[in-house]
Amino acid sequence: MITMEQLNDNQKRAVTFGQGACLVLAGPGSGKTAVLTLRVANLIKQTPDDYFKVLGLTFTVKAANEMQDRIIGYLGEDSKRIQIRTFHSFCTDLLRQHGSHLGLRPDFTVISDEKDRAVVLKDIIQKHGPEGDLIEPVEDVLKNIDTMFTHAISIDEMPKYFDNKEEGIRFSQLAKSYLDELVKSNQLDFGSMLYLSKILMKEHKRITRQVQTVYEYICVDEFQDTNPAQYEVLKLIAPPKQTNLFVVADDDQIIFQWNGADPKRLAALKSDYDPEVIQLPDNFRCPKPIVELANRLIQYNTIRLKEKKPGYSQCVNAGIVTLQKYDNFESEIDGVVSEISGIPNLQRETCLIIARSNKLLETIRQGLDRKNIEAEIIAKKQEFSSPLILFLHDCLRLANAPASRSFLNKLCAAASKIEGVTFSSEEIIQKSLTSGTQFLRAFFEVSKASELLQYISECGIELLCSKLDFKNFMSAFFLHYSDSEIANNCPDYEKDKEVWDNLYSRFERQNGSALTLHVFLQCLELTPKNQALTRSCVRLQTVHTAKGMEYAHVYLLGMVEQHFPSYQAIKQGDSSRVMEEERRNCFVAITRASQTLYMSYANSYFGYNKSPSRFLREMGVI
Amino acid sequence: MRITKLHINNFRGIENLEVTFDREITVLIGENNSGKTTILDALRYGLELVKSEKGVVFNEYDFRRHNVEHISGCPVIELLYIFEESDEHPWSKQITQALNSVIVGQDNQIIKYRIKAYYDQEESEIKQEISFLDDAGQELSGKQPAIKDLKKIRPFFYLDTLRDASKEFQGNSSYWGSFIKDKSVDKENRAILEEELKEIHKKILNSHLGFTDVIEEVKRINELVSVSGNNPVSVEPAPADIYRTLRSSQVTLTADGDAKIPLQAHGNGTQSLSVLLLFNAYLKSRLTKDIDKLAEPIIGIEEPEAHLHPNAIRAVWDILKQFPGQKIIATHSGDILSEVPIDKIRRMSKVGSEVICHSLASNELDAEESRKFNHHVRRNRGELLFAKCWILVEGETDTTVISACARILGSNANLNRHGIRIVEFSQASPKLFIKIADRLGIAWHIVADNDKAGEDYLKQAKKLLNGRNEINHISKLSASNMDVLLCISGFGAPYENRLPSQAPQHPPQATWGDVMNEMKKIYVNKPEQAFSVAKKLEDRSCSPIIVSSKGTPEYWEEVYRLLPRGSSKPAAAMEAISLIEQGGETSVPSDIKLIIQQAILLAGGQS
Repeated sequence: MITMEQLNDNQKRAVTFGQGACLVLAGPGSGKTAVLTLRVANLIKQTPDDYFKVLGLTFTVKAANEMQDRIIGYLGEDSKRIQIRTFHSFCTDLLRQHGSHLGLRPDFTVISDEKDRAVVLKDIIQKHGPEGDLIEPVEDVLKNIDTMFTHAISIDEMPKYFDNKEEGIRFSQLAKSYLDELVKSNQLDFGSMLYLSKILMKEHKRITRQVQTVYEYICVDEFQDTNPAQYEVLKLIAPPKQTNLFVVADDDQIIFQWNGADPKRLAALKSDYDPEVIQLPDNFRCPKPIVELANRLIQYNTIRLKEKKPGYSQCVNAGIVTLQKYDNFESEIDGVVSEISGIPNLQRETCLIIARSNKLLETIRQGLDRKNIEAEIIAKKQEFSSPLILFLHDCLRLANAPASRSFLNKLCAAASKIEGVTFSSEEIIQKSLTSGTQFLRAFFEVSKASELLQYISECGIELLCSKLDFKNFMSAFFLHYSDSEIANNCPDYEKDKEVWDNLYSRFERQNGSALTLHVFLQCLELTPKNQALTRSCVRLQTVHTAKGMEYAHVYLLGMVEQHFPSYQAIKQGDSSRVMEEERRNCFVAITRASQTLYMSYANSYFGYNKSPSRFLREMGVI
Repeated sequence: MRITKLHINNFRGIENLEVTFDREITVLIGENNSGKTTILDALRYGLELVKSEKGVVFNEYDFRRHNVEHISGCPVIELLYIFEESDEHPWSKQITQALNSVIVGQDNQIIKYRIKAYYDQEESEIKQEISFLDDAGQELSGKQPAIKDLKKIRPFFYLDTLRDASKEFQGNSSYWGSFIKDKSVDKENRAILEEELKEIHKKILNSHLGFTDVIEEVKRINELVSVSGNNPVSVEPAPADIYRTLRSSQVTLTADGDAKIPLQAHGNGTQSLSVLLLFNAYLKSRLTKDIDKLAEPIIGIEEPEAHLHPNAIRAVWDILKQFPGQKIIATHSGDILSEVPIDKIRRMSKVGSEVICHSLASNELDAEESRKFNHHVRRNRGELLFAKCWILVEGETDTTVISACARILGSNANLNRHGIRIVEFSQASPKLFIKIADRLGIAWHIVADNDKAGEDYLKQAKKLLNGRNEINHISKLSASNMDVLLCISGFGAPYENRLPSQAPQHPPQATWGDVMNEMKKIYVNKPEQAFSVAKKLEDRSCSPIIVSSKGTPEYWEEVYRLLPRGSSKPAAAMEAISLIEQGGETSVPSDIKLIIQQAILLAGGQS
C-alpha cells in the first residue's frame, strides 16, 4: 500500500491540494487511484473534530469497492465520513431519502434490464390507443429516451431536437408518460434517476443546500467519462466557486462517447470551474517502449487538451513489445496459444487478451478452449445466470414487492427452467385472487407440487410469506441445493453461489444490523454479478471492460482495418469523432501492460481480406 | 435542534395524543393518572432506552388494554418523535453533517423517528421496530444506525421523584462516576501518590495484629494441599490505585454545629437538591467530554418540588431554568407553575378514557394580556391552573360569599374537592379568562352583577359561548350585587344596622347662603354645580330617607346605596354569612346554590 512518503512531487501536490477546484490530468498507470484515496483519507485524518463528509464519485461499483478497501487499509477503519459512490448509487440514495417530493416511495426498485423497461413503455403505448402506435420499434424509442436523458435534455426541450415538430411533441409526451409511469409504479431506470435527481435539486433548494452542507469536499474519478446529465448533477452538488471539487481525468481515455462522454466535458469543466491543473504524466505501470508507442499514437488525435504532457515511463521493467503477422485468424489464434503456453500455469491470471469486438473474443476463446487453455471472457453481468440462483433472487424480490407482476413473471420463468415444466403467471394470479393470498404464496402453493421445488416452497411459505426472514430462507436454500444433483447439472450454480456469498458478506459488512431484505436487494441491484476467476485462467476482455486494469502480459489481436479501427469509424471519416475514439481505445488497450505487449494481425478474417491497422503505423511498429 | 413534537398512539392509557414541546422548557400539569408520566416515559423509551431492534424495552403493561383481555389483541404501540428546525433557530451545519442520512423536509429540516411495538403471536414475544421516515411519513430503509448518532447528539436524561443521594453520589452512578473518570491527575503525580498509598497500606496492615492468628491457622493448609514452602499465606494490602480511593470518597455537608454529615444521612429535601445540583455540574462540565462534542441534553424531570419547602422550591426553579438544553417537567407545584410563562404549560386531562393535552400558543396572548394573567397566576400560587372549573366573579365579596356558602352546604359541595376555584377578574376582562380557560380545557362559569357593568361582562361571555348552553356557564345575580342579594335573601340586618341613624351631633354653623359664597370663591367657573353636590351631601348626613317599602328588593337596593362611605361592607357581609350559617344549608340563597351546583357539574362531579 502506498504511503505519502512514496509519492513524487506532482502526486503530493495533488493529494495535499486544499480548497477550491482542481483538475488532475492523469495518464494511464499514473497512480491516480492512490492519489485519490490518499487525498480522501487525509482530508478526514486531518480534521478529527469536524463532522463534514467527503464524497468520492467513481464510475463502476468495482472502482468504488476498491477505493473503499484501500481507505479502510489506510485509516484502519471504515470511516462514516467518507462516502464512495457511483453516480447511480448517489442518485439512488438521494431519491430514496427525498424522492417523496416527486411522488416516489423510498422502496422504489431499480430496473436495469432492458426487457423490463420495454414492458413499461409498451404498456403506455397500449393505453394511448391507435394514435399512440409507433412507427419505430420500442427498443429504438427507449434508446432515444435514454439519449435525451443522458444529455440532460429536459422533456420541454425535447421537441427542439426533431425536424418534424409534431413528431417531436409526440415523442416528448411519450417520454413524459414513460417517466410518470415509472414513478407511479415506484421503479426507476438509470436515465430517469439522473433526470429526477436534477429536477429534485433544482426545485427543492433546501435539499440541495443540505447536500452541499454535508459534503465539503467532492472528488470525482474518471471525470472524462461523465455524461451531460451526470455533469449537471455534479454542478448542483458542487456549485462552481462555492465548493471544493477535485477531479481526476484523462481525455485520452475517453471511450464512452456512446454514453455521452465527450472531450467537451473537460472544456466545460475548465470554463465553469477555472480549476488549478496538476499533471501526472508519470506512468508507473508501462515500460518505456510501450509508453513511447502510446505517446506516438495519441498525437494523431486533434481534439484533446493541448497542454497535456506526454506520458513518461517510471517503470523499472525493460518491457518487450512484439508484433506478429499471420496468414489467417486461425493461425493468429494458434500463435497466441503458443505464446501463452510459455507462461507458467499459476501466472495465467496476469495475461489479458484484448480484441475490439465480442465476436473476435468469442472465437479466440473457443480456440483456447480447444487447446485446453483455461480462458474466460469478462463481461459485466447485471443478472445471475444460473436458474437456481435466479429463482432464489426472484423469490426474494417478489417477497419484497408482493404485488409486482414483473417479478412474478421472472420467478415463473426461473422455475420453469428448473423444472422443465411451464409455470404460468396468469394461473397464479388467478389463484391468488380467488384465495385472497398474495402472489408469492400462491406461487409456492403451486410450485410445492413439483418434486424439485417442493422443499424450498414449503420453506418459502413459512419464512417469506407472513414474515421476511430472508436470511433463514437463504440458508435453507443453499443447504438443500448444494451438492444436489440439480446443482451439479446446473453449470453456473457454483460460480453464482460464490458471487452471492461474496456480495452478501460485503453488504453485511457495510450495513451491519441494518441489512434488511430491502437494503440487500437494493445493493444487489446496483452491483454487477461477475464471479471471481481462478489464477490459472487467462482473461479475455474488450477495451471497455479492461479500462483501469493492469496486466503483466497483454495480447492485442485483430489489429486490422475495419476491426480496429472499426468499420463504422472508417465510414465516419479519418478525422471524425468516432475515429478519434477508436484511437483512444487503442491507447487504452496498449497501456494495460506492465511487462510485455504482444500485438498481432492476420491477412484474412472469416474469409475476408484485411489490411493492417493504421494504428500500427502511427505507433511506428510498421 | 430540539424535539418539537411527540405523537403517542396506543401506549398505556393514551390512545392518540400529540404533544408539542417548547424550545427551552415545557411544564406538564394534570391530575394523577392524567398521562404526564406516560409522556415522560415515552420520551425515555425512545430517546434513552431503545438501542436497537433487538433489545426490546416494552413490557406487556405498556400496551393499551382497553376492553382487551390478552396482549395479543392489543393495538400496535406507535411513538413518533419529531425534531423540526425553526426559522428563528436554524440547525448548525455540524448537526446537518452528522445526521444527514435521516434529515428530510420541504422548507425546514426535519427528523422523524418512529418506534413501534407489537406482540408477535408466533414467537410469543414482544417485538419492536425502529425506523426513520421521509417527508411523506414513509419508512426509509436501512437507517437504524442513525439512532446512535441521534442519541449522542441529543442525549435524554430522566430525573424521577426519588432522588436518592446514596445512589447518585457513588462510583457507579453515571454522573458522579463521570467526574471520577476524568483522569486529570497527571502521570508523575499519580505515580508518587500511589507509591505513598502503597506504603501506608503496608503500615496499616503491619500495625494490625488481628490477622496474625488467622494467618497461623490458614498456614496449616500446607498439611492438606501442596503450596509453596516459604510464606504460603499472607494478607496483601488493597491495590494502590488512586481512582479506587477516589471512588470511595464521600460528599458531606456541614450541619449546624460543624458536624460533617455525609449526604445520604441528610433529609430527603437536602438529598433531592444535592442530586439536582450534581446533575447540573455534570451537564456543565462533563457532558460534551463524555458523550459528544455536539451533545445538548433533553431532560425529563418528575416533580422537582418533592420534599422541598416552598422557599427551596423557588430556588430549585432557578437551578432548573439554567440547565442547558431542553427541559420537560411534570409538576404538582403551584410555586413552580407561577414562574412559568403560560405558553409553556401543557395541561393534561382525562375525559372518559381519552387523554387530552391542552395548551396556549405564545402568539395567542399579547404582552399586556400575558402580564395580567401571569400576575393572577402568581398571586394564587398557580392554583388557578390546577382547577377543573373556574367561577369567574367581579370582586372580593363574591369570592367570600360563594366560598362560605359552599362550605355551609356541606362536604358534597366542597369546592376544593371538586377542583373548583373562584377567580376575580376585576383587574382584567372576563374575555381573557374565558379564552384561557377554553384553551386549557378548564370549564368556567361567570357570575355578574345585575347592573350596567355586569351586563357588559355577560355580553362578552355570551359571545364566547360558541354553541354552549348559556345556563351552564352564565349567571346574572338577581340583585345589583352580592351584598344586596344577601339582604334580599333575608340577611339584610347587618346592612341596615350600618345605616346612619341620627342627625349630626352638631348642626351646621353656616347658612346655605354662606356656603354659596364660599363656592363662588373656590369654584369660580361652576359654583352652582358645586353647590348642588354640597346639598346632596347634606341630605345624606342625616337619617336617610328611604322611599321604597321596607323589605322589598328596591328597599334593599336603596339601603345599599345609602350606606355611608366609611362603613365596612365586607364586615357586614361576614355577619350576614354567620347568619346563614346559623340557618344551615337551607338558608343559602338559591342564586348562589345554583351557581355552585352548575360549577360542580362543569367540574365533572355530582353535587
